[in-house]
Amino acid sequence: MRWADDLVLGIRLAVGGSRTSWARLALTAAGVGLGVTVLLLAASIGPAREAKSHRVQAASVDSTPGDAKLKARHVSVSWQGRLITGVELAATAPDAPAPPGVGRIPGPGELVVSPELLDLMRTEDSVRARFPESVIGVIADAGLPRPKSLIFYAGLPEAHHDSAHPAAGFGSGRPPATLLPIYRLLMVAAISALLVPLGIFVLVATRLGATGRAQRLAAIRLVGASRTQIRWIASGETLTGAVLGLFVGVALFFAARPLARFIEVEGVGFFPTDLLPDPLLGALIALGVPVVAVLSALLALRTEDVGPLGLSRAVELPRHRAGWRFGLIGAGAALIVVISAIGGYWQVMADARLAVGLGLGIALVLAGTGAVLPWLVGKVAHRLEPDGIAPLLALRTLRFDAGTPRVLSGVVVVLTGSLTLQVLLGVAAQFTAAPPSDTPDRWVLDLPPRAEVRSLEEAIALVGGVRQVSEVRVHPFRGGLVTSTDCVEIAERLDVDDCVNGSAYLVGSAPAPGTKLKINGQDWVVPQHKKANGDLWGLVVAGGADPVLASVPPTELVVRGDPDESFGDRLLAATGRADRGVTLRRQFEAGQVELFASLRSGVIGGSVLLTLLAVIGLAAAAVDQVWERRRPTAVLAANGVPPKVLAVSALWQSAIPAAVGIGLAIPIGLGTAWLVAPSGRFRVDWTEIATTVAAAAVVVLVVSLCTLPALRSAIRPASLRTE
Amino acid sequence: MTSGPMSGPDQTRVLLEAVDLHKSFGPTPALDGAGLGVRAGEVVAVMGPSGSGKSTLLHCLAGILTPDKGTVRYRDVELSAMGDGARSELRRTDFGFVFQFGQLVPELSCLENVALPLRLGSVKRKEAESRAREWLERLEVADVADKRPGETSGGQGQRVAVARALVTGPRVVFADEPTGALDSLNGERVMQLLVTAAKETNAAVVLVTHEPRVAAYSDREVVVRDGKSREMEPVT
Repeated sequence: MRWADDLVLGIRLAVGGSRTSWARLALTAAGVGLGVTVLLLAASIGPAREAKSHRVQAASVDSTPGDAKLKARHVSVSWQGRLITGVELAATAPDAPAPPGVGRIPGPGELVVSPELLDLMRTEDSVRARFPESVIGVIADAGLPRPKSLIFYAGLPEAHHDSAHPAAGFGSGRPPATLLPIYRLLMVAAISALLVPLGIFVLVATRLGATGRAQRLAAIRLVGASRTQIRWIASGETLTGAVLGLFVGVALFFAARPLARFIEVEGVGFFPTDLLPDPLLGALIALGVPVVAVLSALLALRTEDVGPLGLSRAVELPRHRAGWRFGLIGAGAALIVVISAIGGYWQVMADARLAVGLGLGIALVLAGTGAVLPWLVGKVAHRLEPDGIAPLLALRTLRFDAGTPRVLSGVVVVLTGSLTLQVLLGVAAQFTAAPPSDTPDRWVLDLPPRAEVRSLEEAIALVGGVRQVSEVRVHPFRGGLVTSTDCVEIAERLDVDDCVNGSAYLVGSAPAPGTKLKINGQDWVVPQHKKANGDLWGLVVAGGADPVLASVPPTELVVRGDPDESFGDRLLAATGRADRGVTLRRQFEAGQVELFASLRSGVIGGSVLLTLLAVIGLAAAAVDQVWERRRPTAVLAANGVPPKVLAVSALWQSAIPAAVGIGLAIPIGLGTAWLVAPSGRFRVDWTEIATTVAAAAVVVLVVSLCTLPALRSAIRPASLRTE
Repeated sequence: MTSGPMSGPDQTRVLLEAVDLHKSFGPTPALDGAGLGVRAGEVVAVMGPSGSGKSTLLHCLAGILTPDKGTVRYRDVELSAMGDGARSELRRTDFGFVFQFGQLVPELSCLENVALPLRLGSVKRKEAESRAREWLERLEVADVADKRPGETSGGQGQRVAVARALVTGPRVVFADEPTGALDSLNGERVMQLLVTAAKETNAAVVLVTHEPRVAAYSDREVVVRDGKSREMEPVT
């Protein structure tokens, strides 16, 4: 077990107890710990989504025919663009089950609300006014999709019993919605954009203090350790930091988990208990992080020959080969082009395999971009010959500095990925959204069965800004539909200008004029009609005075009024007082909006978190480098180089790779998005690009400021001492 | 005394011999036909001005550097023919090193530093530390056993380094400017202890120095100049 002894010696070196060794260990553990926290969060997304979808499923009303014990009616309230959804319930059997998280079914005039809704009702009188019932309880976590859900259960008023549907209980067997292929594409690309820089960060964290370590290992080589022994010792040393980082990461994850209750981004949130990593991924992280750390240490020893006199002086700087780096970008771009050629954009978006393939193409481009940066920085450092001493010192240091460009590779991957994703999310939004409305002043209210239309219309008439209300009645019959409404609605939806009361139009096919149909139990004769086109279907009749058609209860009320969002809220507030079952038709489907929001917030949150990680990594690498180069720095200071020049040189040392990185990320990120996006849909958000450049400048400044204390210590004459 | 890979004492024969060594670093020649023979138990001082090639000669003799041309034989085995593993073992068992600075591991205590070569050679920790403690006592630095090198004075640190060089019972101790970073009083004491301990264990010492005062501890002197070596008259 010789190797075990060497491994233990490595661990002993890592916990050496000197201030430097503790600082190095703490920095490595903090770096790896942050990486592990993010990885654990990423590994928790799947289980968290699953837990949430189980709760949603458990709370959904089971309307399958059979043993009905309840009457239920879905209702909603809109407040300042926020949708408050609820169910009005009435027990029809003594053993009627209560919804999850609720003690008992609320009776008429009673209300059970989510904690967030209760807070809102307490702080906003206008919200409280929408709920005349008295609050008898708060829904427990088990009955909430997310901590900040705005939901309620109310007693079903006697007047609405007819419009409610029978239900057996809660928890339908409907499987959770699966992701659209476009979201698979976006998720593969987003995960790549997050994981590549994270891996780089863990790598950089485990290689902090590399020069000191090389000297230490050389001293051990001198007294007779073989190369193999040195590898085990270095592994033990790195393993200590990685394992400690693993514990720090797990501790940070569990410490931060309770905060999940208070964090909700764009309608996406989870309970702390939802965030539990997938066991397989958790095990992979627990094993993978130390293995990656040890492999990185061994890889470093492969390129740096540690001899008894120190790092081998004969070793040439490793040549940065460009071929494979550009090869990755080329392969990714080729994959995108080939997949786009197989099917058009819309076909790719509809096919999960093609979408994943496209996501992989993007991932290859991102990985290649990260790999190109150190090479490009090396080229720039060798080519540029500036006049100033500060940039000259920075460029010369960059020739031998792998740390800064390596961390910046991570930032560049995040940047490229986020630029690509932002464009693609823009396209996804266009794909998900209905086409922009030509009639923003037209508001459609869907009515529940047997709604009291008269009282609703009276309530709507009181809303300021209402110009006109049209009733829409739809009667299906075998092989078609008869839609009856007024001429304003028909003129707009069928684009006709000759409509008068009694006019009939046909879109598609219908029985011949004179055919007798049964409508609402009465005979009705199909009138003469004209062919038309539009977004109504079947036979459309301006049926104002037709008593048979008028006997069909309306299914929609179309209100023409103000085009702004608050008008919709006011409409719902007014109709809610009469009947909360009235819903306002919106352009997005709620589920799709949430998925879209979850991806957008994921990209934004991930980018912010990784940028923070990058700042920490960059600062750690920069401080580490100043510390390891303190002797040459002290020599420069002793020779009269002003401290200001040294500080500005540190600034240049971060600024040059950052500028090269941005110069690389913007064209590649936008180019990738251009390849993926369908023609004509490619849009560049220049504000975002300007923000990115500004953020990079701030990062460079912060990193440079972080190096100042180390620099001040390095230029002291005491640093000239060698022993 | 250790029974290293090449055990079997013979004090009349040359233990370590370098013949016609040439070594260049890039375009700069460091050794240009230098040679040296070392017998068991003798102290040889290698002298010369800065940049003359004396440290390079020492590194070639110890098998740390491989000469471009010429041979280094230790007990009739050519070092350049040995693999890295065998040379590492040789450094661990038959050779000891005392350099001007940088040879102690700052993270380990002085006791652990002295025990390190034994631990690398699979000696049990207790035994290794017991032997290390004995050597620290012999070199009068037992009181710094639990301190780290950074917490000791220069003289104490060098004595710890001497203890580490001798703990395995080496046949040859390579000392490169061992007193270069010390004041004269401490330098004298370190040299006395090194030479005395080496004589007691019959270890040869190859001592690189440019100080005649330090060279005075040797049995004979070799001067290196421009990469060439020349034997001096015996020290009286």
